[in-house]
Amino acid sequence: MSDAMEVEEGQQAPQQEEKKGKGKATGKRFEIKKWNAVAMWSWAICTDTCAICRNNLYEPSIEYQANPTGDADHPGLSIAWGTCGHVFHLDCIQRWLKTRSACPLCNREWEFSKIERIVGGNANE
Amino acid sequence: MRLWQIVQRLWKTMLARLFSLLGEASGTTLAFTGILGLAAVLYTLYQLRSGQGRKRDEPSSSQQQPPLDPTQPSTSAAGAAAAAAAAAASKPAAGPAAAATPAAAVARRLAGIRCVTLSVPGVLLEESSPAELEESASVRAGAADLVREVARVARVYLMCHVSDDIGEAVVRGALEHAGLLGANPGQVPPHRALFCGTLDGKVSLVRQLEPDLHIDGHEKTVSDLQRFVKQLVLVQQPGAAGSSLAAAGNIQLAPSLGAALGLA
Amino acid sequence: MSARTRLFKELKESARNKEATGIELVPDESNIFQWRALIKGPTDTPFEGGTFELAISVPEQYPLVAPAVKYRTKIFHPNVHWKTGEICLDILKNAWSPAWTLHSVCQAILALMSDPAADSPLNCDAGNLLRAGDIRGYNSMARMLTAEHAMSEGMSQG
Repeated sequence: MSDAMEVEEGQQAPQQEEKKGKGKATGKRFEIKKWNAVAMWSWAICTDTCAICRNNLYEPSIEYQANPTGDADHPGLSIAWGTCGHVFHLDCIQRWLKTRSACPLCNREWEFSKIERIVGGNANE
Repeated sequence: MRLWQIVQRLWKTMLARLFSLLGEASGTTLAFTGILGLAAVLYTLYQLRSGQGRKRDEPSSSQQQPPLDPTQPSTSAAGAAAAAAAAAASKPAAGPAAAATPAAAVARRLAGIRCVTLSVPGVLLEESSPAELEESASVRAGAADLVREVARVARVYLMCHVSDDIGEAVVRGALEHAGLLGANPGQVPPHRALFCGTLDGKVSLVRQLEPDLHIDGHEKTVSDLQRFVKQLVLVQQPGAAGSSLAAAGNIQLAPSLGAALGLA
Repeated sequence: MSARTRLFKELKESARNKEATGIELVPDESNIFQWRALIKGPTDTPFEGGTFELAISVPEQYPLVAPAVKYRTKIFHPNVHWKTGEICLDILKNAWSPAWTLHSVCQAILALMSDPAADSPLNCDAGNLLRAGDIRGYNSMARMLTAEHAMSEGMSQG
């Protein structure tokens, strides 16, 4: 990032001094004149709705909402990814798999890839 | 009393004369008389059949009176004839009466028929093949009138095998020009004029509609539909090669639409 | 019951979609498991101009199980039984997935009207016409029967 930051010339020496003199309040500090931020972002999941119960994936499934047990291990409080990348509430996809073991959205053979708990409003790390 | 005596005397005189006649007559004469009597009876019957049921006294009645008439067959025949004539006379005059109008003939032919499908080439139109229909479509005037009568008493669907849009336009134009398509009684609603591109397709169209009667000018269609349609009529000019289709139970062969509907 | 909840969600969504897609979905007033749909015949098909009514019966295990859909309006189509209105469509049988909704099912039925599959026909006459390549006959009959049954001013003679 050195090219993005413009520092006044002649500040090289104080830079080293800064490092050595850590803790000391004496000497010049850096003055940032200009900076360009570069960042990357991506959705943690492709959609935010469970295609089976039509509830938001950040909230519990319809089944759990109908009968909230308070049990943190309830599958209605977890979401599951398949190897195809599609994600549903765990209890929703488990119930569907009893009928047919295919992803409801792409019809590929279903295989669990990841399961996570829904935590409050944040589903992901 | 006097009248009665006169009648009695007359009766006796007649009988005497008759007996003397019979006694004198030869076998030939008697046979001849019997034959004349039989002929008279048959003539009476014939008149009754072709007439309007007018009752006629049998002219042979006077010859039947004597029980000693040797020509027994004549008597029994006359007796049977009398009974038959009486029965014929009492029967309603509808049987021998010919329909006076085409409407009546059509109504009679289509009794109990609610839905009629008609393939127009060769029946309503002079042309009978898709190739001919590319050039022209001529509606037979008599047939058009009959179709109008049919449309008054039943639900009618017209169908035509054409080869392309031009053929369809030609046929539709001819039907409209003849006043056959429209919403009035005696007309066929325009959307009930159907067109198809294959003969097999025509069979499917008829099977979908399930008519009570289908009229066609094409032998193969009639033969294909024999199992599925209650009544079929094949209209072909006499001498055409259609006679391989024996007039099976539900197939009627006719040289024209008029003939098919019971008109000469 | 989760079926009921999901059906209520679909009810809210369908009200939004109606104008855009020409599909009108109306549940029975007293029973949310019975729906009526009104779909308009797609343009460039012989069904154009007609309005067809579907009867939808939703089972209790919906959406894990497909709804039962049939035509209430008569339609001449190879994959629809002429007399009963039964529809031969894979997503209503073995290819069902809970991702389908009543609205998307209606869209699939509209697609079927535009692209009939003549191989597994419930209406043999329609299937035969298409298999014989007689598109003229198929269109002619479909147009006529659409006019007679799916249009309010359809002409019907006695």
